[in-house]
Amino acid sequence: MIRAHQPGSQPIDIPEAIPNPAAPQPAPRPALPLREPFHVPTPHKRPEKVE
Amino acid sequence: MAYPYRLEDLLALLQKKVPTIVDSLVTNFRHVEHGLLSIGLKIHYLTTGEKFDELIEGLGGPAKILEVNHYKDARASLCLVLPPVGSAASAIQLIECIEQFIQSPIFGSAQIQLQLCSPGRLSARASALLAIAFYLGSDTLRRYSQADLRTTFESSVTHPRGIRLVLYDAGGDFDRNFSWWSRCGVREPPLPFTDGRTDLLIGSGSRLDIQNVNLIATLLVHSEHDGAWSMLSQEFRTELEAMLERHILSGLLASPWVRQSWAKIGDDDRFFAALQELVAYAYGESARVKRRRLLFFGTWRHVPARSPNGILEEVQGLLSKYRRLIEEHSSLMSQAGEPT
Repeated sequence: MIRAHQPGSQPIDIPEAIPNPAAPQPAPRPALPLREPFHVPTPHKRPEKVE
Repeated sequence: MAYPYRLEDLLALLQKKVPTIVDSLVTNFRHVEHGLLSIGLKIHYLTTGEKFDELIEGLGGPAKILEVNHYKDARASLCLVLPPVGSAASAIQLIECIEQFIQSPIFGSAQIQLQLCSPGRLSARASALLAIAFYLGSDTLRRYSQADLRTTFESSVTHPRGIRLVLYDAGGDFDRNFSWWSRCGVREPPLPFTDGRTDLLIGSGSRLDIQNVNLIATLLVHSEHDGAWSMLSQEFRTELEAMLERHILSGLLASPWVRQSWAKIGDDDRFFAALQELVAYAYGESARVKRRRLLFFGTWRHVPARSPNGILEEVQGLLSKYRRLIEEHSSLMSQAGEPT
């Protein structure tokens, strides 16, 4: 930020960067595709042997 | 531009952390879209830190990757030179991959200065048009200081580049293996230049900056090297110059926006005065648009500018018009069965 001041006028602050009001607004970024979750097989419960 | 590694090496390294994006880059990084130019990138990192350490170690270490390159922003702790890719989309993807790898933003970061490299050396006037159109078309209006534009080659004995926004190459590696769309309908490698680049040291950059610089540089290079878009690009130049004339800015084109071999003492300051005039005009336009909206709506609000005839709006219109024309013409040429 710099301050510009001319005699007889209000000093103004000039920022280092400002958004360009005419530029297209950036489209919202799509979230990164999630990796496939690992499927952990549920342990198969064997039926108890009936002797 | 020295990059003693292949893009494939970089992608293999990035793939360990960012597999999803890298997959498409691996197959498409040489693909050229609509006859636009390939793009090279340099990342100047302004502070010291460890963000890039893992990446640089993975590529072979600082001695191999950084120290062979004597060129960088004068304030930077490192300058990472990336091998060129075929399109703006690939360049953006590559930066996004690196962002994820280092877990820190590159786009919009005040700590990072981006340098965008286009093949082919533009004339002094075309270099001025490139810089002005980039500046007015960017999504951020920047106020530069001369310190922002100082590089280690400012006063180089062999390749002096001065303090400029636009920089020519200083020799080094040049990858010609990208398709060039010639005026006679040939679309194949190599590029018609054996070496030579025109770079823009844009500062903190965005995705839109990469797309815009790629479009503007393509139009200007085609106009000077008889490319497929030379007719369109002549119209683009005429419209851009007429726009500058309407806004009483055409005198800026006479300033030395790029350092030529016949540079005179004081050219750095003459260029910087022109840049400051452009910046002041753009800042003034931005304030005028805001004031007008204040009048329209009674209260301040952030809405896209729909200014009649403001230069910022006109440049956006010009860029979108020529982007659309190139896309339409290239699809027509493809339908007509011209060689691809």
